[in-house]
Amino acid sequence: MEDKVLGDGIVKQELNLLFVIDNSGSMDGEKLGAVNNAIRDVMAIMPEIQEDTGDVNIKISALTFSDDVKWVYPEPKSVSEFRWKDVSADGGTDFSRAYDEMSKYLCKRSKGGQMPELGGVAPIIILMTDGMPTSYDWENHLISLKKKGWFRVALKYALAIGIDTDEAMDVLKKFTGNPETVLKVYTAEALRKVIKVIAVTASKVKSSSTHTGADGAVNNNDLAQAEIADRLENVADVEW
Amino acid sequence: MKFSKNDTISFEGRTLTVLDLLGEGGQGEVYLVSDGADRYALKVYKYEVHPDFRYNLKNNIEKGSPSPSFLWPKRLIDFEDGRIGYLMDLRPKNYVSFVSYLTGKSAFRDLSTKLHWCIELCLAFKRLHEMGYSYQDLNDGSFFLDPDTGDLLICDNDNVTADKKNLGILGKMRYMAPEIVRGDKLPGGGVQMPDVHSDRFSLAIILFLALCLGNPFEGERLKNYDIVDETSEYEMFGKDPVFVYHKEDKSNRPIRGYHTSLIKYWPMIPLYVKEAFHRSFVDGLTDRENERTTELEWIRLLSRYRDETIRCDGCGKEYILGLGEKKRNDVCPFCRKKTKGCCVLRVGRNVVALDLGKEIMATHLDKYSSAYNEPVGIVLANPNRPTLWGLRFSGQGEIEIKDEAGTVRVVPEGKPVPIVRNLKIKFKNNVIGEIK
Ligand SMILES: Nc1ncnc2c1ncn2[C@@H]1O[C@H](COP(=O)(O)OP(=O)(O)O)[C@@H](O)[C@H]1O
Ligand SMILES: [Zn+2]
Repeated sequence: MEDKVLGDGIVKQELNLLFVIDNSGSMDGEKLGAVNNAIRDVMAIMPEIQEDTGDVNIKISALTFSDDVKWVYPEPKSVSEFRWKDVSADGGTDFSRAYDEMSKYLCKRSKGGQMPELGGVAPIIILMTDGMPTSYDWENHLISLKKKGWFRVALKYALAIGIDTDEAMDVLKKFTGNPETVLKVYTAEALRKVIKVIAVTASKVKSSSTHTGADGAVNNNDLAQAEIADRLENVADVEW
Repeated sequence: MKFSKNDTISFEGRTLTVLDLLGEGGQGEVYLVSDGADRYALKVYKYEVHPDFRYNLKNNIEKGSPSPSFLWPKRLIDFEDGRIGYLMDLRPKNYVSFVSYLTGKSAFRDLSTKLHWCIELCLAFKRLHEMGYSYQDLNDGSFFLDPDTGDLLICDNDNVTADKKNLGILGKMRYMAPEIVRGDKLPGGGVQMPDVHSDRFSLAIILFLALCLGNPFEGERLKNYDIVDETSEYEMFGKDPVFVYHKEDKSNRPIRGYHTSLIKYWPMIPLYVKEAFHRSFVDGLTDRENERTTELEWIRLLSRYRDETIRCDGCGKEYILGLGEKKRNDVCPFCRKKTKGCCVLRVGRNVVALDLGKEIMATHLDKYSSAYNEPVGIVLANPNRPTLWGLRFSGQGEIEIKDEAGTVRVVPEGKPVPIVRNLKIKFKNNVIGEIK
């Protein structure tokens, strides 16, 4: 175990939080700077969230994509092990390769992926981009990705950074499958807040197993989404 | 966020100053406040609450706390914006969360301390239920412990309601009784809501977690699911739960190499405690009113468990003599050192292993007492001759003892009774004990 352990502990479920970051040339400067900052911010609060949960082990991964794809760490890291390394920008925006890489990641470890054999809960995926795919066949790659059970159950958010053409928004809506989880973000400060709210709230909600109300079984993703929407209301320069 | 540092709140003619934000939960924010003299925790709800919720909270405050183990709401505050909050005492610093115990980040000093905590927990829920309340949302997040003393604190008491009433909360998955997960239809209409009986089921889960470090319904069947989601949890904890140590249905045993702690600890708990779990988690699945081990039954079983623990001279860990097992523990289950010879005190139906530091409780000497965690005697070593042990009682007055040879002697209050085999002890009210 990574944290200080005094005694034996119970088995925990595993919650994967995945950041997928477009680091193509156009992200250079303020945008990527904001992403770097935001993820550092998130990492500062995660230990507290991990501390409060008895049921779930949070694991974090980050994938960057441009012409190429690159994992920040080869395998998911626990909250205490994950150290953010600033990413820099270069190249095109190859969604196809990013989707393929996610498909590989969203398989059990015994099948070459990074998902646990037992006791895994639906992952959280946050995609950040400012542009259009430079690969023409990305839709086919997305179709394969959508065949993965882990992808289907995941809570998916896409952040459109400083873009709002219908075309670009369409690409992201196709990714999340839900227009409500595609957010347009216009400033670095807004981006920082949005990433933090999503990552922190989602981890918190999903790692505390639902407190169900009498109004019927609550879906964990819906609950997280509602809380996130609620918290984002006060953040300026965000639209969805 | 409703308040910032140094904001003031006027309330009942006093001024409360906000000193800090203590934390944020699903329902609200908790602040550290001071009225000049004392400091309190102030919980403020994020949204306007339902009038029934407010009414219930107000009622609970007026009725008062069932026992000192509850961090009970003390004062209701209505804010101008329609929101409400309540004051409660601060959780003292010596308490750590049950979650931090479950995750191995804090540990009870020893097994007796852990059992003390479990008994406290049952005593607290016994009192709560006796007052006509049910807790409704029993889960791992509400409990705190002092690792050195085993003292208990129960937080999050705002969903407590009169039994059979409900304010809309059903509970937390993995801790809820199956009929609540399923939302069973009631014959008279409506669905099954949390009550005393579902509390009892959840209490058994908490005790199982505390003693065995595992969930009683999570085993092999986990392999049927790629992903743990609402559907799989509904099946495992609602539709068709199977106890991991079900005597006949072995389909959901803990998984080797995965449920490691559970596999390690289950064999060490006494048979009579295992039976009580089996009853709650097998028969109690269907007969919710009669087959769920009650608080009092747990208290008696856990006291018996504590009575028969001894400390290994080799590794310092505690384990049971095994008085109720098919075979006694002739070696320490942790280090395999031979079990030391240890006298026992028999009094009434109790058998207490007289190991150094062992406490005799009020309930051992008085079968009408309900002070299960109140020591009235302790095993001590003679400071001059450490191999000579004695039992020192308090509040018992003079004690008459008779040794094997028939010699009778009176031990004055506060003086130790020597621990020697076949000594008979006469306590107050002609209660007779014997050292064996
Ligand atoms: N009496 C108290 N003393 C100290 N800290 C407290 C007290 N009550 C609550 N807290 C802290 O406030 C936070 C949120 O409280 P909680 O009651 O769990 O909120 P919720 O029920 O809305 O989830 C927690 O981190 C808890 O540790
Ligand atoms: Zn030993």
